[in-house]
Amino acid sequence: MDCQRAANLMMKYFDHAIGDLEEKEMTLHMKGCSSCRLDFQWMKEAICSVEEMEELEAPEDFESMVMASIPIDYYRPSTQKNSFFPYGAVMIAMAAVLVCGMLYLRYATVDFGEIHHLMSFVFRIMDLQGVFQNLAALASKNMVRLLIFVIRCLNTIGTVLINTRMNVYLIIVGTLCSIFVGIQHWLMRLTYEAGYRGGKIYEK
Amino acid sequence: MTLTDQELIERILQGEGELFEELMGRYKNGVYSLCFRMLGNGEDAKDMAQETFIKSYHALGKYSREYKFSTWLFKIATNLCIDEHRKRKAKLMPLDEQIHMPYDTASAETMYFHQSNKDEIERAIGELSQEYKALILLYHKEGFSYQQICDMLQLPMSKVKNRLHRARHMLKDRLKEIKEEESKWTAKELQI
Repeated sequence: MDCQRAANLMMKYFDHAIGDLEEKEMTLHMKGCSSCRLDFQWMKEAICSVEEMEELEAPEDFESMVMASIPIDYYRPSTQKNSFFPYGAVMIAMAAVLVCGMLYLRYATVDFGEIHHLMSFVFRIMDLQGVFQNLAALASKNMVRLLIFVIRCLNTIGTVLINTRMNVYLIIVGTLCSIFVGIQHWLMRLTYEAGYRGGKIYEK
Repeated sequence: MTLTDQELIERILQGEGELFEELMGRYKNGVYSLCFRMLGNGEDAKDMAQETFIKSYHALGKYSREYKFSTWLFKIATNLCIDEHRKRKAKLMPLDEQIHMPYDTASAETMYFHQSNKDEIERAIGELSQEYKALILLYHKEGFSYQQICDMLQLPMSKVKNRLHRARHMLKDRLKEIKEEESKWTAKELQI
């Protein structure tokens, strides 16, 4: 065996990847080659010393300084970065659903048959107009408190929706409602301005 | 019950940021030791180790569970140390000169005991270049595998192996030189 092969086997030895036969081969070579033997001894000493080096202790105030430098609530849902987008989207979707409902009550022109009557009935039961009137009356009395209350309510609703992943469905419904209202508005304009709708001519 | 690293990370990501302290407690000495040996002084090591944890906290959302947390953390620490060293190009004083200042006043006996193998190897490592130092420490001190080191340093396996083999030779030669120098020096002092 030549010294180059012995050097390669030495590396395998320190990689803990040497086979028994190879180790015997290397030992045999080193018995007759003082240069390789010395190399091996020095390298073994160096590597063993590295492996036995003590782990140093971090300074005492290490953890407290790191903890003071990081925002603890960085991963809390309510303070997530870019939280405007999910909240904003949920709020817009909620507003879209409400506006669509109210518009539908006011201008319901598409004939859904019994479903239309059912929806109309539900909205009337909810008496949204009355609710808004009451809110307006309250607002005139105590504007700031009401504002805070409304913001808190919206925040809670938004958080619950986001945490339960309902925001996605709400956004989809809101988008569909907006599209529906847009089409309806366009049809109504067509009807009143051109007297045309659904292939039939109506009087203005 | 002790939580695993993965469980702790899950909970931190769910908003329990205070648990990061526990996670840090597990690796702070390892990271600090690596930074100390890479940079060669306590103050820089402390700054880099803290920077490592701050950076890892902010990037925890991007941590991939296919790797061990320690591998990911040491990757950040190693890269930060190499970058820092490149930036500063600091002239690092050999480690034993900082910790143990000249031995002029010491007796021959104390000198003998103080010149332990530990100091010599620290000095030899301190004199290696950053890339070689990182490989020696990660493989032989921290016990990472070749594959983990490849992932950490983003180097191909062949390069990591070649560099580690070269680093071992350099370390061996340097240790040999230091020991020979010191034995000559000690003999001289004893004659006086």
